[in-house]
Amino acid sequence: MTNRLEGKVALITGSGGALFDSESGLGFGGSSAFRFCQEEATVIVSDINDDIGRQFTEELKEKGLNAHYQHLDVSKESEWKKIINWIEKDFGRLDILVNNAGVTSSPDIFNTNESDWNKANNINSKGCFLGTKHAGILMKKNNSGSIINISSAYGIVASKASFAYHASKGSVIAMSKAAAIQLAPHKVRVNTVCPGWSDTHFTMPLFDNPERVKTIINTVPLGDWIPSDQIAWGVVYLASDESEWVTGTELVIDAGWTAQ
Amino acid sequence: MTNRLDGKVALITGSGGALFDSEFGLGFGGSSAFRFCQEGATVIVSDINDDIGQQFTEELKEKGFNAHYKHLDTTNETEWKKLLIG
Ligand SMILES: NC(=O)c1ccc[n+]([C@@H]2O[C@H](COP(=O)([O-])OP(=O)(O)OC[C@H]3O[C@@H](n4cnc5c(N)ncnc54)[C@H](O)[C@@H]3O)[C@@H](O)[C@H]2O)c1
Repeated sequence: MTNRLEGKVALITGSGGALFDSESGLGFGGSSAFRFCQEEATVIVSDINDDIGRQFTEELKEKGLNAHYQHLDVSKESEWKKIINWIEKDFGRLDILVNNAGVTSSPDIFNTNESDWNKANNINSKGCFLGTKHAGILMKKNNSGSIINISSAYGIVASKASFAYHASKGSVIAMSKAAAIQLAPHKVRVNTVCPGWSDTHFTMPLFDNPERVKTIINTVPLGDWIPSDQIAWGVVYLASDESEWVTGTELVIDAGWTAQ
Repeated sequence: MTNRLDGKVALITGSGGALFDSEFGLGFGGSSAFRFCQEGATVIVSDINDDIGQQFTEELKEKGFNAHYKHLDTTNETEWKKLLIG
């Protein structure tokens, strides 16, 4: 426990989907919330899964950490306005936003219908847009801030399936660069993290098919699932003042997967 | 000063080209050497600029850090072998 985020107020979307002892372990949002707290940030955990989100926040508090829970559906602008207002009123500032909430979408192009497309893009892509916009409005008042958008290795390279997911995650990378340029005059940084295969709640359904799991892991140069904590450390770096001159870039944490 | 690199041994090439109070400050190698030391690593500073490299390493040691200097021309395989294998 050190103090790399001391005095900072952070909002992490989709961070309330699991508990410390959940079968799948914490997701990227929950792991980041835990590490942020340990690095002495004040952390606002948010999710649509309020029951688990509140319980997880209690678990953090029981460890003596400074965590708060708020409901937030990232695809709704009215909810973003509400939470940012609440943060401004209660904390007076927002230093870090992690746009982590996301959903998968597995069909290929011919099997993707409009509703699949809208769901993936409303949460994964529009959610990042709305968050960056409304957090940006508050951050620029302080002339500082760091926004971290969680894309994916699937935002960099493609596959035979997951059409809408690829599209949504690719857009996150380009959107982050545009936001980085447009928020730079306000000293607000915007970066993307692109995780590879990680065994969170997100990928749990794959584990019903051991053959598929083996095929996936055989394509990973470092040879295993990436623990969600490893993604969290990358997020901590981009959130901290250690990366004060880093903006508009991607941190790929994929065990070598996209280097092939 | 924390311990994120506790127990690790690190070699940094081109890290001996400047001193703490050099006109342009430390380079990336020197800055990395300093932060690595602060994080608890044992650091081997190396460069072709032996005079400054040795002085910089002394500066690190004076701060109580675990730093060592070795000459290394990175274009020379013999020197790599000598440094790594002895
Ligand atoms: N696990 C992987 O292998 C992997 C790889 C690359 C990228 N990602 C991305 O990482 C992010 C986090 O995923 P994870 O692996 O931690 O899985 P996860 O399922 O634990 O996390 C996603 C969270 O988002 C929440 N969420 C879903 N819809 C929401 C909405 N509309 N508003 C707010 N929250 C919502 C869920 O409740 C859940 O808590 C996602 O954006 C995902 O696309 C995951």
